[in-house]
Amino acid sequence: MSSALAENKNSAESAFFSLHKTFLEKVKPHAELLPLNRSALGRFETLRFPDRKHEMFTFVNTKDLVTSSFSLQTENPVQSEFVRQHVYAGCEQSHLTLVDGILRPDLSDATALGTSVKIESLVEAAKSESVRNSLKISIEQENDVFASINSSFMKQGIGLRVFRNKQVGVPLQILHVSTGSGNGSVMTVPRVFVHLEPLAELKLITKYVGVKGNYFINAVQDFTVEDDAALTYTQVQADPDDAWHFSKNRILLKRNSRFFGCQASNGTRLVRHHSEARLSAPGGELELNGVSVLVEDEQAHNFIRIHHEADHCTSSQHFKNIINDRGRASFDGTVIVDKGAQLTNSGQLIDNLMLSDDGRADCKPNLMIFADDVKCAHGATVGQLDVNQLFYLKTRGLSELVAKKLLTRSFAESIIQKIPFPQVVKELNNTLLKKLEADHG
Amino acid sequence: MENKDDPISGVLDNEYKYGFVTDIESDTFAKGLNENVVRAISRKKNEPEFMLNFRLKAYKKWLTMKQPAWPNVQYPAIDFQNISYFSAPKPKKKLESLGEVDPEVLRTFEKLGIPLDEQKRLANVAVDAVFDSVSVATTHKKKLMEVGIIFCPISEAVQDYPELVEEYLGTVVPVGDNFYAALNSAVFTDGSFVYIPPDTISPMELSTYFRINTEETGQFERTLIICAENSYVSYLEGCTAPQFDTNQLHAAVVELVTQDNAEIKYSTVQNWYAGDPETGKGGIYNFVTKRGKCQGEKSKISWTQVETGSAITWKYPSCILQGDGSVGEFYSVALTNGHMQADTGTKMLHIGKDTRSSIISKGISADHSSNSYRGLVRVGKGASNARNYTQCDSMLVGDKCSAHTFPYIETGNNTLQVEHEASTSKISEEQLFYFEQRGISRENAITAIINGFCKDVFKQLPMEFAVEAQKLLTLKLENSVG
Amino acid sequence: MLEIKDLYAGFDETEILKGISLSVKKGETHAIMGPNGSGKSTLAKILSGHPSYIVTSGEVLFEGENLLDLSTEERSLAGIFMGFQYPVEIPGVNNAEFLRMAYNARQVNEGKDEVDPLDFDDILQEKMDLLSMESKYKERSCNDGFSGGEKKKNEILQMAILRPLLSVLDETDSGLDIDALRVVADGVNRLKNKDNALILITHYQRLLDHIEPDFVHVLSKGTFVKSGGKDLAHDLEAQGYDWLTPTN
Repeated sequence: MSSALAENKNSAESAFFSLHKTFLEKVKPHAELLPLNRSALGRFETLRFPDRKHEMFTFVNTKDLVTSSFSLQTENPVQSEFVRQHVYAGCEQSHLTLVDGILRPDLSDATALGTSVKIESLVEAAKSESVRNSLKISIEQENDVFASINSSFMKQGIGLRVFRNKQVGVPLQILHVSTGSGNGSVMTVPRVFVHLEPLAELKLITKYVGVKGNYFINAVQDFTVEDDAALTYTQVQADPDDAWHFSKNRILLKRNSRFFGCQASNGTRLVRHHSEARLSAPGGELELNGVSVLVEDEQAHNFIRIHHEADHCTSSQHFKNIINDRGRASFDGTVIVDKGAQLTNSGQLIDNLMLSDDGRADCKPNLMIFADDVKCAHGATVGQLDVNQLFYLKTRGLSELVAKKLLTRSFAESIIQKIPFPQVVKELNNTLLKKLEADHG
Repeated sequence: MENKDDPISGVLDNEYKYGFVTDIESDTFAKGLNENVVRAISRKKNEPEFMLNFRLKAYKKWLTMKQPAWPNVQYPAIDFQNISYFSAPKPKKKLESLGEVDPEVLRTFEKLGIPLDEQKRLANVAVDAVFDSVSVATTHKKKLMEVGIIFCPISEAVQDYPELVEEYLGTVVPVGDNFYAALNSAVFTDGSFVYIPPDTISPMELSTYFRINTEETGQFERTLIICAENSYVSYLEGCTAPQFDTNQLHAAVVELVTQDNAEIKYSTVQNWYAGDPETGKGGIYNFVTKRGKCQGEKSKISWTQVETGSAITWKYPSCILQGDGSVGEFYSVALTNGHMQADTGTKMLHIGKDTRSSIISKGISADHSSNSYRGLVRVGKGASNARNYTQCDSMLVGDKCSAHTFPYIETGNNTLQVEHEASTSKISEEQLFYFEQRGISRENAITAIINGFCKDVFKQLPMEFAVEAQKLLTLKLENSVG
Repeated sequence: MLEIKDLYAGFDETEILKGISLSVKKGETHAIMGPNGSGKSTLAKILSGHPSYIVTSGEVLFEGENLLDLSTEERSLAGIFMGFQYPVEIPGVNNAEFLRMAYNARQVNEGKDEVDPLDFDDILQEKMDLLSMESKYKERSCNDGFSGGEKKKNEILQMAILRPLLSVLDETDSGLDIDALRVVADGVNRLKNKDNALILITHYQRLLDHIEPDFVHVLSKGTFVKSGGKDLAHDLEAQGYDWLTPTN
């Protein structure tokens, strides 16, 4: 049995090597990016696909994913109407649409951003030495095999730069459309590089949607937030159920900079978010919040590493999962506080609401503290709806179903309300929570 | 002391205020323990047969048991043959009035802030004063009796209400429960007994004040509180001991029983002598078994403890949540300084349906001390919809102390709802500087920080004790600021 | 009001300030600018008497008195307020209660009665209205779980409550969004009058767009390398600090 598994893994790996060969021959990488592609492929060779015991994939079974035979996505047409319905109100003139990872100017409009933001292709962006270096280092030090796959196929993708002391008033939306496939599985590797110069401020919404399913979106985003800059970020995952969604967000915070992030996940057959944040200089503030609503066989997993490298930084995480039917969620998060990171304040809380007996929630909140003057807290809850509260509502004449819906909504509400974009909140109230109203038995 | 120059840890040093010895004549057994000693204790107390059998059964169990090794504390093995198992202030006959109590003993309690005589005694608190294992005075007895409440030394209860004692004694903490409980069951000499009849709210707080006086005497009190249906009582316990170079053993057992809809609130402020703060020599070994059984439906037991003394503290006030809908609570502040060691926490055993428990533990460690929280939440198969909330916070003062948390959760069904929160923080020089920059003195700053850290627990204490607990902590902080 | 004469000071064995002189009079606003590591924060900590910082030579007079003889607490009561670059979190100590402790320490020092919580609430509410702060600032523990911006606002609230003669605001603008910066600057401007004085320590010129300084001093490697009017800040922003570290 175990040798059969190993064989599967090996053949899955060779399938990816031959896919990469196709990439080199048919898709033709950019000459400037090619050394990075090769370096990433080297990382892939070292890291290899995880087995069940891999510490980064304790709760995530990737067997079905890696043994699927993938081809590279060839571009499919997208109706502009489809794009329009996924562009948030207020972002009509500040949205960028990436179809299968490739920027589509015809489906984008950035006029409202004015001259505060520079938008360029990844190749252009990588001409800057700092961007190229940061790509190079992150590829060499990559610990997530799926992110190294992204980098080994990296060709398209975009770079955003907000100039010094520019505060962008309107929210900017990046819409990722996966066109999917009617036949065999396809893989896409979107890549976005966001750079905020000192004192810059940006509000960014990323949304992932698909036209058809059966795709593996394997996205990587890099965020560099320089001194005193602030990024407000919301990520909405709304792919079809038969998609695989892997995304890695790499966040680098410099002196007194802020990153305020929220993510909402709809779940698919397998969603995995990997967030890796470094608080590299004093005064950084990081907040990561997330909510996922999972029904039927949907899964959503969070893997988080927050590294406090400097003093006087704060980080907080609050994640909530609502799990019905056979849904599965996991949270594997570690906060590392270096010896010199005195006066760190860090909090980590995961709440799971189980609505069925067959669902599953795994939590592993970890703290690794090497400094002695810090305040670190962590907590985890797994629970059902409160019988007393249900009873109370029923005594007020509410039906069991209505009372349950009300309490479930209020559970998710505290995270959803943290999203600073009313249009996204409204959408989530309509879509995410609506899922629960259908009775899945 | 070597870290005298560390201004923060210095703040927690203080001299033990209750470290005096009272010079009274006492009736003390020769050292050592055997079956004859057990029989002699029983005889001395003129006990009925069931009590002697209870003691002998416990003694036999004890002989087969070993001192527990799992707590996170270190101490040399105790020689149980080098302890005296009975010491009572003379005269030892049954006391009819306070006039018969040795005036030295009364003065002792007065020095401790517990006046026992008619004129000075506390108006709203009934006190049972226990001096070296023997109850010397119980106030307000008559007033309590008017509403049917029995509050007396347990030795008296054995004589006057043997059927109640026989029915409940050892039902919550069985004689062979653990090493020290077995020892206590064999040799206990006195303690307090409370019975609250049905439909009765106790008109005042009941209180026991323990005082260990004699060197090389083990103190083995036994407390039994029964709260019948729809009744309520709040019970307070305070402890002090004189300063000796040798270690004294305190191995008490407290049993609580609540029937349907009854509630017991049991609060402790423990300030036994902790040993020499510099050498760690002497001090009390506080090995106590406290357990309550929520026997009836919707009954409630709430433990609140403020532990500031003892060389070693080893105690886990626990709740057996047997009745459906019953509630167990544990609120604890444990302060360790000098060379103190504390391994304390609670056990919440969920047996009935819809049972709830909450645990709030605050540990403060300073100097060279070690402070561990150990908590078990066990949910049985039948305990559907059980809920637990646990919060344990540690505060470090200085960098030579340590804090540990050992939470255990054992679940037998999947309808459990658990929440666990933990944090570790430190009183830092930067915090004190911040206060001072705002014109607030260092002393006030430390008091504010410590009280802020403990307030979730302090607010559970009855008024009188909350004030005492705050004073105690402040006392530990006094003398060294500035 | 404040007279710093040829001050040498540092941290541990390291000398950071190397001969600083500064004179601040009633009603004046001084800005001290400079790159990270130039000694700006050290100056603030020296003025408030942080125990880790040591004065090796020089003199500091505050209202004619030798400031260096006073403890941190005494300096505070004498009217020196420091707005911290990283306000310290005090978990468990209610913010309103903390403010009342600080307020009462002043009352007692001035021989006045302490103020009870109810009366203090009126005083506090008035200041909070002035700074348009939400009521959560009263309910939560002091700075505990506050965002960086909230902490900075809380510093200004404390400044409003304590009415200091001299306020030293150490990088009060860092970590602030542009909107929060406006609120904070507005608060500081309201508290400014002809009888008090202000020292603004900042890395960026943008704070000085909102609080106009009378004097700007540039600190580099522990000494003032340039002093001038508010236009100096604009020049600095345009040139950056690179010119301060001449390459050989």
